[in-house]
Amino acid sequence: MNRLDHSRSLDPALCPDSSVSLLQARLARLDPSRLSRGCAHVSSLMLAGALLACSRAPLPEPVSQAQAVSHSKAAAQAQEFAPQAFEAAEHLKNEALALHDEHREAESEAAGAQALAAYNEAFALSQISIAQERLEQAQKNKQQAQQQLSQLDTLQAQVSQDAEGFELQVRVALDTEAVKDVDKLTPARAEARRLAAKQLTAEAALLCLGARLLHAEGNALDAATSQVTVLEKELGVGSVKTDLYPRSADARALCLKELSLARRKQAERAPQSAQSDVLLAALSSAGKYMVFRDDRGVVINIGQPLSGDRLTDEAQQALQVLGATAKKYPHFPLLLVVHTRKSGEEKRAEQLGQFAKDALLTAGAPAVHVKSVGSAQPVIQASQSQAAEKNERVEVIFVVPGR
Amino acid sequence: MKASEARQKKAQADGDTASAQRWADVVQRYRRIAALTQQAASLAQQATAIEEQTAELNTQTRRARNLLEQTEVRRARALGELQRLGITPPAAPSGAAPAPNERPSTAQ
Repeated sequence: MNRLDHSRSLDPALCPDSSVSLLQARLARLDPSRLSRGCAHVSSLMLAGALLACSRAPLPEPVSQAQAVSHSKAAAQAQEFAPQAFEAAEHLKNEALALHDEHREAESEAAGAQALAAYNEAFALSQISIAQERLEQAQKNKQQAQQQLSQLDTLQAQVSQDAEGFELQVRVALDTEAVKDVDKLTPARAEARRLAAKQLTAEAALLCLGARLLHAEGNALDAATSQVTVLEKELGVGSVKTDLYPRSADARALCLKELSLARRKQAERAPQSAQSDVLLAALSSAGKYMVFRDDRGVVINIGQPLSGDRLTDEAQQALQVLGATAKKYPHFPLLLVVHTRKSGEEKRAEQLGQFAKDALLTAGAPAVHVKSVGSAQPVIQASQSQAAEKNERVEVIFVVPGR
Repeated sequence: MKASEARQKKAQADGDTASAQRWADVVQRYRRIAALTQQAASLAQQATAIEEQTAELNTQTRRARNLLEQTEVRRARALGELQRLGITPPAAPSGAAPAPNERPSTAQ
């Protein structure tokens, strides 16, 4: 721009090189010695005045501004994004300069203003172009993000479905874990399952016995009783190699079913025969005993029944009361269950059972059936203190004949 | 623009038709520039709105990816448990979840 301005500061048409040279030559012919200092000064002024007269008019302001903006950063952007509009502006700027060269200053100024407006138009168009590109890119990015999210949602649904399916399969598999998996059990868990199996088998034995006391018969009861007998033998070994818990649970369920069927028949024959509520109320009113009802019937627990080799006074009194009660309710078969302190106390269990049975019979009970379950159903774990005293006990069960 | 209109009128009054036409063109150009500037602003506004929506979608995508990873861990754990129990799960149906390297990228 500067170069252009300087080159246009002298107009060759108005100030040809010859006239300037002539003036310079005339001044040079003057003898400096004949000239006073004042004359020399006047000569210098005359030369400057002549040069000024030869200079041309300055560029109109709009043209200068158009030249300035044509080299701006925005112009470079406009050249890239709005090339046609930029070219039009450049054309107008050149027209303005050409008009200025022709000394058509008014029209040059108007053309400069036109060029300035054209540059601004190019800038606006480039802004639109940039905004459009940005908008298109934003739309594209949004579409991609939506697709990604949609794909992830689909994957999530699939993986979630798989996970839930597998988890359900695991739960089902664990619930129906096969007996052969016992090898994979930890020793502690295997032992816990064996103890639970012993309890269930003991319960099964009592339930099957209860069914027989209610005069139940049939192959199903025989099969269930046989199963219980086999289990008692197997559990007596103490091995945990075979998981007997599922079979014990089955055996208990079978015996309970037989007892329920027997009770149903009794109830059909004599609907009022049960009277278990009356019996329970009568025993509870005595207030001395721990009375409760379970699948077997109405149960009275007598703890710590032995002192040395005979029944304690408290046990003796309780058994007398219960024997008398059994006499009043003869349709409730009486089952005496003996629990020992630990395994291997069969003799002590037999002795305790005999003492208790005698006491009941003496008190008037019509019949007593004794069953020892050994240490299969402890009140507390054998390893705990006072386990021996608390676990040795007798249960007098009034087998409920009806529902 | 008002100044340009004034210059147009003055040029007409002076009988300078060429300059008057040029000033008239200047006025027209500035009118166009105003409309173009408005259009550019509107487009930029639309782009900004869509960019914000995309940012929200990307946030949702990141959350979805995290959830998917957690669910995949759940599935792998359950599958491992099944295999430990000696159960072979049924083959994955068509359209099942692809391998991790086939998943859509969420890299931002």
